Amino acid sequence: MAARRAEKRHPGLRGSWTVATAEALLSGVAVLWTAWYAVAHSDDLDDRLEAFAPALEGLLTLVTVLAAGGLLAHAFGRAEDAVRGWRRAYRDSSGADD
Amino acid sequence: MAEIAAGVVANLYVLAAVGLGVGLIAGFAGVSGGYLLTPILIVLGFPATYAVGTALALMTANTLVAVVRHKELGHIDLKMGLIMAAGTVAGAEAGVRLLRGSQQIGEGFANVGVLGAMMVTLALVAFTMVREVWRSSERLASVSRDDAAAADDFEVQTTACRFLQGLCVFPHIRFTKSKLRISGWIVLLLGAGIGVLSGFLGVGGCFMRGPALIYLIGQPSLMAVGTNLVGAFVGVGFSCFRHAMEGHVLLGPALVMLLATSVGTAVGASGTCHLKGLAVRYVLAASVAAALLGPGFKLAWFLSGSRVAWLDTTARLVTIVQIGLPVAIVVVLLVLAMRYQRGGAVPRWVRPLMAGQPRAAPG
Repeated sequence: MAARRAEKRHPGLRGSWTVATAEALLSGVAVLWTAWYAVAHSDDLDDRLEAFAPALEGLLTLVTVLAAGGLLAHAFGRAEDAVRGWRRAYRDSSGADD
Repeated sequence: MAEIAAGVVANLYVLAAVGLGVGLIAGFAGVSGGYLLTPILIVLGFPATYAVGTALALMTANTLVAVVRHKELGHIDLKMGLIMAAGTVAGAEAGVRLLRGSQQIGEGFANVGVLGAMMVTLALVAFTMVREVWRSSERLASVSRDDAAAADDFEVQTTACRFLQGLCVFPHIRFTKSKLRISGWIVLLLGAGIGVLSGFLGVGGCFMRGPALIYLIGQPSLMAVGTNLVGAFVGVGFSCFRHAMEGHVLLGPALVMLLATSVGTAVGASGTCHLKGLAVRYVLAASVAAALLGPGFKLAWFLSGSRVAWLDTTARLVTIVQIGLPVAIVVVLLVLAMRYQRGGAVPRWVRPLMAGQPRAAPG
């Protein structure tokens, strides 16, 4: 799966641990910000959601939690890629020194 | 402490800690953790309707994280998971209607009915699992090291799963990833039965689906972990949608807990690579058996007419302990697994649970 994902990526970004780290951090921060917003503005959020029809309220809530789950799954996948890429880069640089 | 919704006050750090613990068990044992999470949220002061809705929202996102993780690890039989999920959705709708019917008879009747059904289900699952895990441990202890590895490949072959796999009811489907052949109707009906119970009890149903996949379908333990989560993801997502329609989901606490739970889930799911299927079954059996205690005291409290205060206090304390026990087992097993793979000394009783070979000591 990781190989297939790498195939689709731009060659310049393939295997780049810095891009992977940035993606993982951005995804984590996006979920963290959403959580903070939902806690800090819980009353506003309830009022806004209740303005919609029940089915739409249910759909919006489901889409939000799925997006959060998807972002976190992506963050963990890219964090692993980042660690792997960083180890490879470290090994290569150590080999070059030898 | 912060007010996270009208009339609901909770400490966000405590919620995050609970999420981390539930995530660790969920990722390791391949369950959504609802049977642990919902009672804890009630103990922490959430009204029951918000506790169920918020737990379902958290489980929807968390099972998605776990499904993606187990897909990468190759622990998912998508065909079986989707057939089971179709049955679960239909069954969950029936379960929700059954609950509404019992609420119309009376709130007290519904409370005792739900807790009673939960106790019977947990007791049955716990009894079956503890008995099987006990037998497997004895079998593993009596065979040599090479035979132990082979025994773990075969996993569980109960009389029930041999009987069900032998039933030739069209369509008799080959599940290549699980290395078994069974009628699609059996998988669908099993999913529907679990769906009815999960809709009625307000849980994801993983603690029933997981053992059913292992002991009734005959799926290997690690494959059952991922497949179980696919069924749970669809069923829990549907229930979350229904509860959100009623306005029972508190997005803030759900997302705060999700951040912690997903970390726990990722660590727990990665831990399954270092341990054999039997270890996963140990943790699931321990968590299901421990989860019997809290509802037991709560049921006794309801039956006493809500008059005996110490029963309620004990139920709250035991509910906290019931999450601590399986978390402690998972942490100890993971620490020992890392030590074993680095060539360190581990107790003899734990060696049959370790996957792979220990790294040779230097020199």
